[in-house]
Amino acid sequence: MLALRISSNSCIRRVLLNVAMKSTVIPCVHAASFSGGLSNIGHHLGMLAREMVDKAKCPNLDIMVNSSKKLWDFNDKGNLDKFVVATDKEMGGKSEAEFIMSKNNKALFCGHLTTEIPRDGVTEYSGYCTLKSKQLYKSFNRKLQMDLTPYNVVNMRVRGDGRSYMVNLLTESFFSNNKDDMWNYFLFTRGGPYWQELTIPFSKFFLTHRGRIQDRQASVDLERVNAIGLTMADAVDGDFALEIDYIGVSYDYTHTEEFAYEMYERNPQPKRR
Amino acid sequence: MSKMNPLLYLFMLSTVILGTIIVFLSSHWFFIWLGLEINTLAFLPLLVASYNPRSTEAATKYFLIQALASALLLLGGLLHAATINSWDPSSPLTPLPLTLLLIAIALKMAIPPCHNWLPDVLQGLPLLTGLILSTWQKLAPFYILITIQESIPTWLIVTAGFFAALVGGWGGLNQTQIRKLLAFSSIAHIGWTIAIIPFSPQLATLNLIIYFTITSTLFLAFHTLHTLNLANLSNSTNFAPWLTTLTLITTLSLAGLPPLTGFLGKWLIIQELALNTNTPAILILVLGNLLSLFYYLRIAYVISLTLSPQHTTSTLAWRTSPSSSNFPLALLIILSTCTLLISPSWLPLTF
Repeated sequence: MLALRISSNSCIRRVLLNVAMKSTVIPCVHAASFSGGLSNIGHHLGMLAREMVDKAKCPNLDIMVNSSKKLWDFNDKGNLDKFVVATDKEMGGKSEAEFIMSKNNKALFCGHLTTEIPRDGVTEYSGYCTLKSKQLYKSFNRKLQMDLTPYNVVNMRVRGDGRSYMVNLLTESFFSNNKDDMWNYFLFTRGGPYWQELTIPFSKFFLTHRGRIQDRQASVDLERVNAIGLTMADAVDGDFALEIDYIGVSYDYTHTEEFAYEMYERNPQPKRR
Repeated sequence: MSKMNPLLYLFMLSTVILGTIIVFLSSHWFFIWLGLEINTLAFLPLLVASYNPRSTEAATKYFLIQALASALLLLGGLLHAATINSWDPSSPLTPLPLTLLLIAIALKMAIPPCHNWLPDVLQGLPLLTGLILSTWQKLAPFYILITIQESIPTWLIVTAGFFAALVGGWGGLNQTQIRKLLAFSSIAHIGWTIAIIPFSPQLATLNLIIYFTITSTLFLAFHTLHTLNLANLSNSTNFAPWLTTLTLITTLSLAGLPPLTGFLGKWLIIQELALNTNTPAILILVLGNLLSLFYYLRIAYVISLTLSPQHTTSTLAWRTSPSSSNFPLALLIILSTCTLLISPSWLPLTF
């Protein structure tokens, strides 16, 4: 059994489900003509050629020298466009959130969380705001995943408001029924004027499916990470603000844990004497 | 993680061995197919013995590839029987059945261009299961290849060999995960093995046995050190310096550096190809081996020339060394490193 518990009100379950199912925009060039279609194919062939050249340059070899990598440095305003914000407004809720540059030239995930239930007769719980990195694509609209296998921890430099957030990892699944699998861990902020440098090992992330923690846990598959996200859904009405300096990954040589959670035998059979 | 009942595991393992032995003893295409199917179907539960979504994915991919290969093999055998009215695998093959059988064997043994499944499947498996996949599972298709080798055009099999050596060398360059490195190493070594089949099947068998010995040593060593990537490997020196050093030497043996065992196979293959005046094949095989040497030396660099963090103010070891004695690993290390020196005494017995 896992030592931690998720709130039983299933609000976070809905949040995690929605983050997993958040539709992503697949880039495509609308080919209104035959020549447009040909130029589209040419564009993708060019991308494919660049990918093959990049792969031939062996980009992973710098792992030998650098054991850390900044995935997003929010001193660069362009990185804000690589994220998408979603709230329970899609379901009729009233939470609001945005991802903007703060006055300190860092990224700011802020908004107002409202747990007021929409009056549609269906929804029972409400109140979440999520921030998720956009799905990247390579040639011919194939998904581009991040290969985080050379690393074992997530590093973040954040300045929060004392509220609790959740870090989400979405990975590519081979089977369609694993499509809504997501790995999560908590991000506790202190509030106050000081920055926090967080290190969350990948071994601490636990598996959820459609918002439910799974009995049969497994470690996160770092080979094909589609997106990293943050969620604010602590069931407390009010404003929230999380300032982020960077999100990165690194290899912590002293961290040797492979998976944090012990698995016990489910439905144990009584031993015969 | 849930684990399989030990008795059931042993039963499945025995069935895997039984399947391969059925292939060895068969003189009928149908029974060869039967042996391969028993081998594959018994191996699948071993792939998912320790629950992990990644293992399930690896098992599914392995099943799909092997099922396709078995179906192609059976179709080739049926067409062969229909063509010349003989089920005997050693009878000469006509082009169509030969093509189907070669594709089936290429899929089974991960010979390029049918090799893409091996790194992905091996990455999803525990090291010990990967060891079985890299060694034992290659025996049956290798036997079939030896049986039909007289029907295969020499240029085709030699080309496949050096293509495999190049692909195995090139593919491993960008890898930091141990299992994927060993997968590409497997592809490269299979290339060397099949390149010499037309000229000396016995030498091909010897090279395969040498490869099995060295790669088994590495798999067991990495399993003992609990390391799955290069960064973790650099840490091993702190708590298991002797085993890490011997792993380094075994890696260099796999690279084919003299005076270690791995050099023996490559030396004899180059000599045999030179006797058959096949200089272009030698050149391409050696170039492919140079590519492979790059990532073997990277492993050696990580083990020997990098310093991992140590708490110098504390005398308490923060990682404990493996305490269990490992006689099979010790024996394999000796065989993987010292066999070349004693080869003059036993090589004449094999030829």
